[in-house]
Amino acid sequence: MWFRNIFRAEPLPPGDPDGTLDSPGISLAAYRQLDMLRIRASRYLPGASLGRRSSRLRRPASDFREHRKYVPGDDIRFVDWKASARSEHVYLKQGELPQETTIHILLDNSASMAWGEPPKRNFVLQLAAALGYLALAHEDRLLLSTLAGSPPAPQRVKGKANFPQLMRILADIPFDGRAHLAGRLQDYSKAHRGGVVFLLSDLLDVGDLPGALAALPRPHWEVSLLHTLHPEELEPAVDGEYEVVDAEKGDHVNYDINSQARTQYQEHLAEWRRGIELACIDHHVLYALLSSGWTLANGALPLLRRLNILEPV
Amino acid sequence: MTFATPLALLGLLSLPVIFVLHMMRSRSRRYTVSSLSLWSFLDPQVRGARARRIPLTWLLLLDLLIAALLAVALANPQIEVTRRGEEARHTIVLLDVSTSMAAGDEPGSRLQAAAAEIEGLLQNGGPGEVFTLITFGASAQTLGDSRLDDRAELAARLAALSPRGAGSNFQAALALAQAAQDSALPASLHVFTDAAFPEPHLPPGTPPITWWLLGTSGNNQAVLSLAVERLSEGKFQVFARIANFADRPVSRRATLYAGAGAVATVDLELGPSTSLGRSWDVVGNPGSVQVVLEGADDLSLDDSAGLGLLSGGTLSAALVSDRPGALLPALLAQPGLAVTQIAPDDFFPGIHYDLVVFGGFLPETWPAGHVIVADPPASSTLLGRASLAPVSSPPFPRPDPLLEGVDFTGMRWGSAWRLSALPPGLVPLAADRQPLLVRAQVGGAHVTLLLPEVNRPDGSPTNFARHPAFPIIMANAVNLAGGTVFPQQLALGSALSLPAAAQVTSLTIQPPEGSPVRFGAERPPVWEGAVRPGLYRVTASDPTGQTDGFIVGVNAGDLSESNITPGRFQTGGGTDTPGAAETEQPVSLAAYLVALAGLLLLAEAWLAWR
Repeated sequence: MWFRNIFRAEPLPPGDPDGTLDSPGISLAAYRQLDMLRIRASRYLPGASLGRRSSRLRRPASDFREHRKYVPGDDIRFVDWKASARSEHVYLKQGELPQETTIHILLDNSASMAWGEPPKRNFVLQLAAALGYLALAHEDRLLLSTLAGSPPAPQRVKGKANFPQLMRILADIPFDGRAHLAGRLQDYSKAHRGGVVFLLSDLLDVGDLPGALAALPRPHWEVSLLHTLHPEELEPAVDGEYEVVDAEKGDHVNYDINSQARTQYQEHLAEWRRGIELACIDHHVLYALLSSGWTLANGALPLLRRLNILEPV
Repeated sequence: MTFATPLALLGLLSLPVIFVLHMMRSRSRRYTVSSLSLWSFLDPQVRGARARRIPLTWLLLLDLLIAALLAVALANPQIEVTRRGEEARHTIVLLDVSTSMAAGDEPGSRLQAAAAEIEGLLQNGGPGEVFTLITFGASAQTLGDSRLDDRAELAARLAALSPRGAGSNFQAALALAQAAQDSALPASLHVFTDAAFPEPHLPPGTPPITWWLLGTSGNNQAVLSLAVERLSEGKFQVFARIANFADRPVSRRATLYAGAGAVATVDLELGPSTSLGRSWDVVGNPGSVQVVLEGADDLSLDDSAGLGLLSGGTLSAALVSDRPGALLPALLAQPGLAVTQIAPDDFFPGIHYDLVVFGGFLPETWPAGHVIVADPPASSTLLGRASLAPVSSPPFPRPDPLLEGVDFTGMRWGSAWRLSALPPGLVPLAADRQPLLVRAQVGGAHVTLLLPEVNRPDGSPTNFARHPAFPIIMANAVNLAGGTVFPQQLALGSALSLPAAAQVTSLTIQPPEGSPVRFGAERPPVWEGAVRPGLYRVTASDPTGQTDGFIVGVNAGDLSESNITPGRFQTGGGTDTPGAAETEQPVSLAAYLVALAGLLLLAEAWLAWR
């Protein structure tokens, strides 16, 4: 029957009702939250084409925003005759030209992101998928790029219908090697005009972070640094003598890890985070510390909402 | 503590191995982190630059403890544990039940005092203690064993004991004790006796002995022996020997009872440890005589002695011979045998005799009953032709009632009769296949053939009829003929031989106290009920219905038993320790150690898997 298609429920995007996925899938609870959110972006960000975000660009339109003087060649249908009658100039009614915003998701796919049980990779992929979903759902241009390995061509995706393609792209990302943050961001800023940047990384061995953040200056770039660490990294639960092995480089050192060492570790971690936060403040970058042990629905999305990285629709 | 297999202690070498394994396990622990930069603030350890920290973990400690326990358990450690003997030991009680134990110088009697002491041992014995009770008198026998009987049952048997006559066969009791000894338990012997026997020789391996010597005095007088001699028809002389075992002079009055009445009384002055004899003449046959000492001493059992004059029935015998020779005196010497001498021509087979003896003559048919044939005729229908043949080789006797107590030493056999029609039967004596004595059953006759020459002609080299063996053989032959003879007197506790049911169909014994004992066709060969002194009246009925009465005197007087002066044994032989009160026993700890190691293993598993 033809009307079956009318009342048939729209198929849900790939996801997992429990939100405990190893894949980039998004839980249903997270979807419900995402449908009420969008990515916050400045209207001054450059846009390439029409979109759904308000911009500073104007066009002759019936939905009045402001007047401008008539110049030869303008469509006289948008002349505001009444305003022109009260003045000695002819004015043209102008409306807002909605634009798209480019959402850049820069994903750290170094080997350290594959560490942990479950690995940080899972959480980061789900977070990237959620941000990508928001971008596609609001007709923004989405560019997905990775930080490790050879520089890939940014994957451009637009339109909500292309969300499955985004998921496939995410699923195919290899997590190996080391991230070259500063060099990669400098190259990236040269290749693109600007936009909202989500930098998803554990920031371990990424090199010069302040230099990297300086490559994406305001106002063309609105950068959010989503610092993702594993719960074991936040609070190690080992005791005794261990041969500590670097998952990314393969180096190993013998440490005697005791309670005093764990206390020192916490202090060292806090100091490291403080340095990152200061660098972010210096370069007008939003900083958020995320734990890969969280879920999107209960941990990550509420935090991004509180930090105004995401806003209600 | 000792080790049964100390070589197994080499297993303790596993301890350093376990320690090294734990060190290696600790060294090989790896911890992969996302980046070493997070840990860079720590000072890295340089391997070998300083001693590694000993990984003192519960697992290491448990592993070391388990290995040590198992190694020590393999070595089978044993400790010496002192155990009280009462807990598990074998107490063997040897109780003297000879006549002297009836002496009343202990509460009740020596036997009752001993029984009370033994009952105390039974009651105070621990639950693991084993008791074996053995009595010994003339013979030894096991009264009971707590492994088989209840202790209350043993006490009841003790209470029912009575003195069993003369004799103390301690060595037999000792042999019984060693046979009953439980080798797994420490054993001890408790001997309750008045030591009225020589100090025994204790063989090696005898358990420790505790002597419980009973008796306090030796005040006893006894009628040691009593004898009767028939002076003439209707006149007897009674002889008694009376002894004083006290260490002081004693005056006692002796009374002679003939039948039921007292016939004479005599006052006796007995010096210390002396004896004297008295004789009385008794006219007529009162059936029994008894000598009784009046007054009191510590052992009353031997204060009287009696004997029966009705000691046996009369056996009718006929001697059919022209020349009875040595046969007649041999038959007349047999007690209770009425011999009638008959000439061969006057012999009439229809007259019944219990025994018929043919000398040089045989009838045409065998008379019924028992027959003895000596010097068979040269020709007869019963035995055929008879001829003398020299006995060429020494005869070889076989075990037979006819030869019981017979010694042929000094016998010259000369010649013996060889028969052409020898009836088949037993040949108790033969010389190189030449029968000399034959017992045969021919029809209704029990025939005994004496084939050596009895009435020897002059110049014959044989001395068969003059040898001491001849009357004994004749006596045995008469006994085989069925003469029922009971002894005139019997020692207390001795067994009374009972005649066979074929001779006496019914038999009744009336003890001096208590109800009569009756025997039918099924009867034991002996009767051991003569345990009280006095006159026992025996009534016997033969198959023809004739009933005879006998009196048997049972006397307790005995030279050793009547001397109740308690002996004093040297508790020597290295066996004077009264029971092993405490013993050192090795106890193996291996099972406990293995069990403890198992528990620790479970604890380790719980620690490892939690």
